[in-house]
Amino acid sequence: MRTDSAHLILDLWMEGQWSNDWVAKLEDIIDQEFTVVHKSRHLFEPQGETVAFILSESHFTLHSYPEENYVSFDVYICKPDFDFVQIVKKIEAFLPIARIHQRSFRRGEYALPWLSRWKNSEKGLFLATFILASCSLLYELMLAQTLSSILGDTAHRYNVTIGMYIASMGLGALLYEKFQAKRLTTSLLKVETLLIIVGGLAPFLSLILDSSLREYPILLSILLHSLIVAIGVLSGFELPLLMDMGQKKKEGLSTVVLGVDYLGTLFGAIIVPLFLVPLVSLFGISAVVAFFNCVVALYFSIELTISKKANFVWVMLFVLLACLSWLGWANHLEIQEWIVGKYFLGDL
Amino acid sequence: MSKRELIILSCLLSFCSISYELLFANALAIMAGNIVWWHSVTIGIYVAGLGFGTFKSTKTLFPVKKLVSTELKLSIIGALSVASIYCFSAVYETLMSIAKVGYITDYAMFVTLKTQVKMLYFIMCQSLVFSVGYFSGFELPLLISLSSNDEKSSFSVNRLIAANYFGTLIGTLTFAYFLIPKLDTLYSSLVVATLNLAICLWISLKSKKLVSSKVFAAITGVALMLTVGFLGAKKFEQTFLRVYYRAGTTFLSENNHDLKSWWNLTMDNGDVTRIKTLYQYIDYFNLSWKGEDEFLLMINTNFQFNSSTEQSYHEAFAHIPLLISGNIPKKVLVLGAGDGLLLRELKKYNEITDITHVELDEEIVELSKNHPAISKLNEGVLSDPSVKRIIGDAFQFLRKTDETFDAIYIDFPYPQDYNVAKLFSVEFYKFVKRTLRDDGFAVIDVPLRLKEGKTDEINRRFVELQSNFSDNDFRRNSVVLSTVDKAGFNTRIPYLVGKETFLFMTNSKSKLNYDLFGKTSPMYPSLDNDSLSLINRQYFPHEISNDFINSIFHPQIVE
Repeated sequence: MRTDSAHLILDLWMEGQWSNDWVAKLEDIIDQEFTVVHKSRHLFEPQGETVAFILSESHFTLHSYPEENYVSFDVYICKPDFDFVQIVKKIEAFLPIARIHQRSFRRGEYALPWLSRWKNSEKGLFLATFILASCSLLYELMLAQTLSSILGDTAHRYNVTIGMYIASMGLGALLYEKFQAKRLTTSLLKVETLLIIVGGLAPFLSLILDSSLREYPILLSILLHSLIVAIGVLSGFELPLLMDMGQKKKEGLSTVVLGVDYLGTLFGAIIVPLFLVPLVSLFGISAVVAFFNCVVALYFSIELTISKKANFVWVMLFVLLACLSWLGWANHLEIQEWIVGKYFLGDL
Repeated sequence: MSKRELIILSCLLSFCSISYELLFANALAIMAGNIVWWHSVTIGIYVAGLGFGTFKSTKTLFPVKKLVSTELKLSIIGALSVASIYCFSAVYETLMSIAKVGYITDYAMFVTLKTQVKMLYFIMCQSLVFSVGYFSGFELPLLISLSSNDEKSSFSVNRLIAANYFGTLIGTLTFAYFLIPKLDTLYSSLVVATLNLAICLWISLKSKKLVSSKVFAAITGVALMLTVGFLGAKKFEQTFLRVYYRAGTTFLSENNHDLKSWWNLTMDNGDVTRIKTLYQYIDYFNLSWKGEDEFLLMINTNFQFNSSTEQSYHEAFAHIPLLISGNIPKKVLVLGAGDGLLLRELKKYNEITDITHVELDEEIVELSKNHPAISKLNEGVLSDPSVKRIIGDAFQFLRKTDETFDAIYIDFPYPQDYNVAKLFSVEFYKFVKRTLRDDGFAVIDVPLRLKEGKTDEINRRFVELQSNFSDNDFRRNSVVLSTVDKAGFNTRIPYLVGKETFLFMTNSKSKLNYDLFGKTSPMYPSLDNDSLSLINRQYFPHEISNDFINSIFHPQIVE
């Protein structure tokens, strides 16, 4: 059960001669709006009363001070962001209010500051989602840049790549529904393995495809665009997996994961033109992105190993992939020289 | 609403939203240059807006009402999207042209001011992008709550999401293949906004009970606004173009600075004609600068030529390489230069028997062939059947050709964005080298910086700013020369004539002439002994290093 709740506190000063009907009216409003489970009241001498209702939605309390024409009014509802507007409107409509002072609070976990609301493992999931989201976009952008060198017309290439990426993410989300993944982490690790290999090697693959299929431009174009679709579908599969992992940790966490995913995409889109492309070559960026992707996958595989006390294979696999992508990064200039010379420039 | 209607709605709405995003990105890329940069930043901010909108869209009791008002807002922003980018750009450009001159003599101060104004421009444009993303973020959650409100039509949310993604795909494809080639950004924005408004009207008619009459009044209002937009778009664009290109100059060329005469002068002097081609915007117009009439041509708002200065530029480009190499080639390749002005100069030599001209954009060739002012300047050379013309991408041409040439003339826009940087890359120059005969030469119009004085895109327009040679200038020279060096050109002679810099390069073993004093000729009247004799005494500081190589896989842009 989630602890997120809403708390309304009203201070009401009435107009005119005190009437006990007012309290009855307030009780009626609560009766209409919520499900009352239990009522209890205490009358003080010579005047004043305390009313407390137990609601199936939590509780309601009221204290009256007839000599001051004052009522203190509290409702606690165990729904986050409950809209109290209707209740306050009704009170204002049915009672002769001289002055009203209202405050509403978030209660429960919801009341905590954003970061302290989450456990460490949840924060880990957010960070992982953030990195994975930017990795996916970076793979696509690097591919768009490679395709624009092979096929020409940069602006067109970017338009088409972004469109196909978003659409195939949708396709991935649909496929996810069909597959009904049961073991979330294992499925995620499978997806990540494919993403690291396809995404990290996409610029190389497209250059090799280009050099070997130059005589068949239509086939070439189909194969190159299917690389975009492949990365898009895998990322589309990845997001609902992460959301489900979030939902499994805590109810309602999936929307937060979605939000973090958007943020990661934004981060990726900003750093590419501002920092990455001016500083590092395209093959270097691909290697670094693959490396970060490996690190995240490694995090999940370690988590899996600790919880299930097995699957050491995954850890080994991602350590290996991380080492390979690190080697790729360390030697990216030499690799670029070789691959561009062999496949792009031909025998010059 | 039925299941099918909801799915169509989800698809159409995402179509509209992504179209707005792309319109913003494209309009900004054309106005401010650097396609990749603006595309990446705009998609990022749009997606952030989407996320924020989704996050903010808490459940409401009347999703229909909320959806109608969201669509109304979106169609208003959409209708104004490109128009506001135009307005911001016109103001920015005018401010910058004025600031470039005497008003601020200090170069550092100019740069600071430019950065600040550019920042403001960025914030104003991107806040529109963010708001489109923000309101679009409401759409999907609202549709989802609509689908769950109605029990008869309750079905999987994923289908709505998939339809949404599908609409995005259709949006990008329609945009790339239809809206931009056929309609132009300004009209496209109005068309998409109309579609959006139609959807809004359809939803409100579907659920009349829930929607107040105020909403219908608002829809009528926006429809009126769109009609005015369609009718006035041409006139608005013309006004914008005149302000964009002329306001700064007219302000500076007149001493009398009252607003009314400034405005009149800007609006006089004929149309600014804009031609939209598959690849670029070509704008041309007349301008009077201190009493003299000039004819200017711009591509994607970047300066191409000015009738009063083009002669010395093209003479320096065409003739000096021949003087340096000492012999006249037979077979020449010209890349770019669709205006035909360089061809005019090359045609003066009977020895040049074979010219191949590769130009990407057929329409600029057609324009330069048929427009009276331009064909008068290029002396009708583009209609000459002896020039072999290939319409296509120069990069792909060099990559695939088996021919070799005695000389290659390369005239492209400066590498200010990643797209054009490709044509200045080491890969490109390697292809150039392969296409060149052993004793041949290549000459490029490149942005280099002399130790004293300077040339750049800004100064090509109007004025010279006093400045010293900066680190950035050093980097610019190093990028150009290191890249050429890496491609295997051993002999490189950069030279400057007037305000233009060129790079002559060859691997020929034969002797080159460095002293051009006394080689004046009536063939190139604007090159006098002063400018010719300076050629081998110019100093372009640079460093040859692997760090400066511009590759298509690691672009280095020059600003």
